[in-house]
Amino acid sequence: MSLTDISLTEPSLFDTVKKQFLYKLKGRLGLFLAMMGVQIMGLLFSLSGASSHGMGDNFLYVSVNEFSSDLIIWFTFFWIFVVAVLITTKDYQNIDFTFVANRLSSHLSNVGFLITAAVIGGVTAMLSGTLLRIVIYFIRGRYMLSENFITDPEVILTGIAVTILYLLLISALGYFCGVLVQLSKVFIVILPALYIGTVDFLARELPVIVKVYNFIIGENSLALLAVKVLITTALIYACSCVLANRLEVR
Amino acid sequence: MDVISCQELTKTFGRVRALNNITFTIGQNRITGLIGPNGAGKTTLLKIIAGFLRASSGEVRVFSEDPFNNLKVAANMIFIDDQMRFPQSLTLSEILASAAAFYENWDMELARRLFDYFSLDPEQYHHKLSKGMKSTFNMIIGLAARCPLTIFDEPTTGMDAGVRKDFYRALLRDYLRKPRTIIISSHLLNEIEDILEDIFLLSGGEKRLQTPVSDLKEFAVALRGKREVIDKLTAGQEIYYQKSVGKDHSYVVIRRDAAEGLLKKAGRDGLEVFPVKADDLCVYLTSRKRGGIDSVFDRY
Repeated sequence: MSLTDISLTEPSLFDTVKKQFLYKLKGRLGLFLAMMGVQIMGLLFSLSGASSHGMGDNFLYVSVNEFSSDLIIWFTFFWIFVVAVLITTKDYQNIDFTFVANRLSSHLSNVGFLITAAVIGGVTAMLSGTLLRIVIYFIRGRYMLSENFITDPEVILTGIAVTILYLLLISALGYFCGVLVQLSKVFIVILPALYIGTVDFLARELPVIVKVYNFIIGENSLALLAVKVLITTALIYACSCVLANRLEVR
Repeated sequence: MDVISCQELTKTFGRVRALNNITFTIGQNRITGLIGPNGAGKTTLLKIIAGFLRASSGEVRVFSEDPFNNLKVAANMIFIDDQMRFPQSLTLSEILASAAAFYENWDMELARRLFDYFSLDPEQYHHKLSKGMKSTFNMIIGLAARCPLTIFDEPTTGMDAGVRKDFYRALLRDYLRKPRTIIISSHLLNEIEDILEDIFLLSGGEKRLQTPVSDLKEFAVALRGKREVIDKLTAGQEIYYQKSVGKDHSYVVIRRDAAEGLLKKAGRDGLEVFPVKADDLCVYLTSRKRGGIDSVFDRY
């Protein structure tokens, strides 16, 4: 070998994942802009109130309007699911493999990205609930805002934590669905069918599915919920990595 | 040391056999031209070497490792083609900065100088570039990455003649400064002939020839003369190309070593002997039918 030869580099997986993760954060800023758009839309829809009812007689009429930021959170759930599916598609994959990557580093950096997305989505979705109250206070000031106008920080933090956990779980599911579709396009048909089937029919026939659902969603203790969600999420991601490890790219 | 070695490599997509039983090695720090017509399997072969696709059977080694899904190969290799995708939110200069983070030997000075020379706008977005500009930008990435194995798959798509020339010149200059293993695929040889050391001919998924370019120029010879003389002389020989000239003359291309023996044996019989240009020979060796496109019309 001559002196001017280029020497071979020995990359470490961790280093590569870190570089890819940073590259992805920078390159996918648009997805966070989309999140803001989705949350603002949720906010606007929420302004009309979640439910209203009234009662009274000839002299006095009381009408109660309830506002809730649930819709914003639901929209954020939807957003992260779409993002998780989207980043498994060929276009995003090609971007990964333009520079140094293997399947594992690509998946791990995607997981890192989705965790970041879940945290940002969870915090903003919960805080936009506070924003909603302020907006309602100013534009619909004739309402008496009674309960929960100033929320206990502990409640907000718990809300943020729970939202993040659900976002993690949903993103893992979305990613898994995306990987399945990459493996075979048949899943584009099977997955929605399975979803509708599970919710509508199988849940009645197979109590196991209800049990699994309750096991995760019906948990009342935050710590236990965290443990359950994190383990489930990790398992789903592991499955995705293993399934897609032999996929051809570019 | 061999940078790439393939043993009986075969790749099938469903029922289509894209590569058939290919065996070859490519040595360190050589510039190889992978030449073949459209659909010859060039891109498939390069993507297997790059570790993007998996071989259906046979063995592939790059830097002595199986390239598929291999991080070491990925870190020491760059694959440039016109399908390269970059995040839409990054400007060209941000993409360069990202590339610099990935490749240890990245030469930012070179990237910037080429950038200026080809008057690319650092604040421009990749998806807004024209086809030729995209190719130019991708080429800059390929050169500045200074990877021990650099693969260009039809890199000049959309480039105008001037930029193509500049590109080959830049490639050669940078190669001389920092020798590395380079593979360039193209369906035409004539443009890249001057910078190549080796040539690898691929057609119909099969390897036709792998030889130093200097040998290719000596590889074949063309004979022209009366048809019956030529037919008698070349009976049993491998004929690379044949066409009729005028009423009763024909023109054939055969191996030079075979031709010399034949000519001595038969005397000249009014035959004319011509050299065959390397790029013509490539077309002959990889064309689907002997006689070329004319054979479609000759008995029409």
